[in-house]
Amino acid sequence: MIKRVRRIWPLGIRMQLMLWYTGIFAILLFLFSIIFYLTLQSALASDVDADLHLRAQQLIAGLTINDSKITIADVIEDLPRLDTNATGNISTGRSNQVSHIGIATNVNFGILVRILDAKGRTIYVTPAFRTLPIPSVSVSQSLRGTPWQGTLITHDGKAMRVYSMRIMNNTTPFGVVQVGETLTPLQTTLRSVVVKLLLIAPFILVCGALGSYWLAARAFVSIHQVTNTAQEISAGDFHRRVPVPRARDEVQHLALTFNKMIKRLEEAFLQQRRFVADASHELRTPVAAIRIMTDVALAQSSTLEESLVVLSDVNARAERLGGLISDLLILARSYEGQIQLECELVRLDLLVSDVVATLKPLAVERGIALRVQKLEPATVIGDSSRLIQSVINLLDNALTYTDMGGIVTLTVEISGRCGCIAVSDTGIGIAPEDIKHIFERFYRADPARSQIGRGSGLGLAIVDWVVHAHGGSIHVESQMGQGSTFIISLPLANCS
Amino acid sequence: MRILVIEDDPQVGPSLKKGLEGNKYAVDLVADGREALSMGLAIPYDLIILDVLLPQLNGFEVCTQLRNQGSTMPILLLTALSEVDHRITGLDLGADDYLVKPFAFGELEARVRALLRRESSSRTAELRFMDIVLNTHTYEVQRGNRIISLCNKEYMLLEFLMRHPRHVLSRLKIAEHVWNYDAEYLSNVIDVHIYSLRRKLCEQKEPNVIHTIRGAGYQLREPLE
Repeated sequence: MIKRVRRIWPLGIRMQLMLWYTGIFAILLFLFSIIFYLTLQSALASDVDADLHLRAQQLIAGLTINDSKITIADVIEDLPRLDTNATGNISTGRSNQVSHIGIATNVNFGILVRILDAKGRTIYVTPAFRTLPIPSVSVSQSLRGTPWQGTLITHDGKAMRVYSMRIMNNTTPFGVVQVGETLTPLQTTLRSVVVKLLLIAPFILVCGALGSYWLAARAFVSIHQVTNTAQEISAGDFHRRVPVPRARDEVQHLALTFNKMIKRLEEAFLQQRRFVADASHELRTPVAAIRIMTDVALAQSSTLEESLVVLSDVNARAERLGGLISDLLILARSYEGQIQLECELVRLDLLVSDVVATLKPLAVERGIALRVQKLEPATVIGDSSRLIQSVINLLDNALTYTDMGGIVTLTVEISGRCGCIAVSDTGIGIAPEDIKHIFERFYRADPARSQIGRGSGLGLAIVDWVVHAHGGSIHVESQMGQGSTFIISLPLANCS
Repeated sequence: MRILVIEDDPQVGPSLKKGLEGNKYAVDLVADGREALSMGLAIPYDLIILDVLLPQLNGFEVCTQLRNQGSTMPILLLTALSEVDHRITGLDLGADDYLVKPFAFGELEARVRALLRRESSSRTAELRFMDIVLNTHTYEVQRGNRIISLCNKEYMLLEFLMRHPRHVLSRLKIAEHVWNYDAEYLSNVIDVHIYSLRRKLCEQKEPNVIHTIRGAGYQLREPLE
């Protein structure tokens, strides 16, 4: 088992998720608290204002103005009970019009009432209101008909909400009545809300963080399953698959992708194993032949002539073995992408006619007519040696699978933007079910037949690689008993 | 001509290989001393270009061991060490030439041509055989007054043949000197290239000079009268 080392930094994805969740949560919580606080504050304040407005109206309704004399009626429920006997005679002496107010001040310091005349002089004030300053705007604005409301600070630092409204004497403004209420209870309420929010918020945040960590953990459970299965799959154990969750989500996608990858690995692994087995078999056959021939020759103490025959046989087999090893190396290196093409301009028509001229003796030896039907000048960019090798391989195949008296025809022609080399034979043909396999390494439709040729079973695989490395394509047409045609198409060089 | 370049710098090595391939040489590139030694002993290179500072086995050691095992191919040392003592050490250990980094690639090309010349009879950049002239600097090939255009491999084949006139060269030997390690030896491919070269050289009914020696290989020699 792999020992898991827990590191703080860099943070794991789960920790990161948790931090992100918690951060976002904290911001939301903060915004919510601010909005909540502001809403509550304005709701409470407007309650106070509405209350004051009502009180002022009631007070005005209870006032009687008589010859500059003002009397507060005893009918207002909200006011402290007015007792005429206990009238606090507040004659200001500063007012000519108002000399007496009949008012009961059943003193309640919470109720703040102040009455001012049109010039802003105080006619009546309850004790708690006495020390409050009178902003001139409150009087002037109210006299114009617009009630004034504002927050004033008392000398001991308490906030006081004041509502100011004019008193009408018939049609002329007589004065102003101001009612007030301390804001201390409201502030106390708000402060306690803030304290509670500050106490609750960290708790909520911790809960949120834990919750998000748990959620993240839950989300990763299925990924863990995939990881565990992947760990259990070792080389050679490719038949196992990762469990695919039912929900169509990212994890399902991951599991499916993973399974596809394992399948490809399995195929590659099997292919590799088959290749090694095939290669060993192919290598063993000529080596076994060489051993038998030399063993027999050594055991029989043969003559010089007989030994020479054996030696030339051995030489031929060794050459074949060398070719096979070369082919194997080419393919191995091509799969690793190690081979670089040495590209230059190549004339396909000249290349094909040179190959035909070189292999003509082989065709003559086998009694097969080798013909060139058409040679259109076609120039491609490519590695001349690799292309020669490909044409030789195709021609060699054609000669191998064609019987004596048959015809092998080569053509070079331009088709669209491609130069095409076609190699046709009148040989045994390829069965339709074999066609898709013939470019595989060591694939042989007819194992017995291949012994005639010099082929290693890798020839077509090499041709396939060379053609594709040049950006070209290869295709095959064949009919059993009629013959086959291999056509290589290579992109033409962009030159006039 | 086949050259082994031993250079461990991941940029310098491939660019040397590419540059030399542009000069129509078959080039193998190796990055460490031990591998260089085994390749240098296994393959008959025409020239070895050897960096002195290498992992595993340094250039001086590679040079010493190659000479001790009887290798005679020219060796060109490349190094950033410009001390006179180093140059003396290198040349005394069996190196044929010494080039201090940084160097102009043109100078390296010229020194490579000069070192390859030592093995042949020609003392200039031109190789001559009968009426065939091959210029190893301009890569121009002429037969008589006719300029012949050859593809890379044909040029390399002709250069190899012209450096070894009248020698019978086996296909294996030709493959070893004209193709690098990436190209696997295939006798038929050589045959096709030789055929094409012969066709181009004899296009105007000139006598053939590349002779096939059955069972042995090819030989560049005057036509039999």
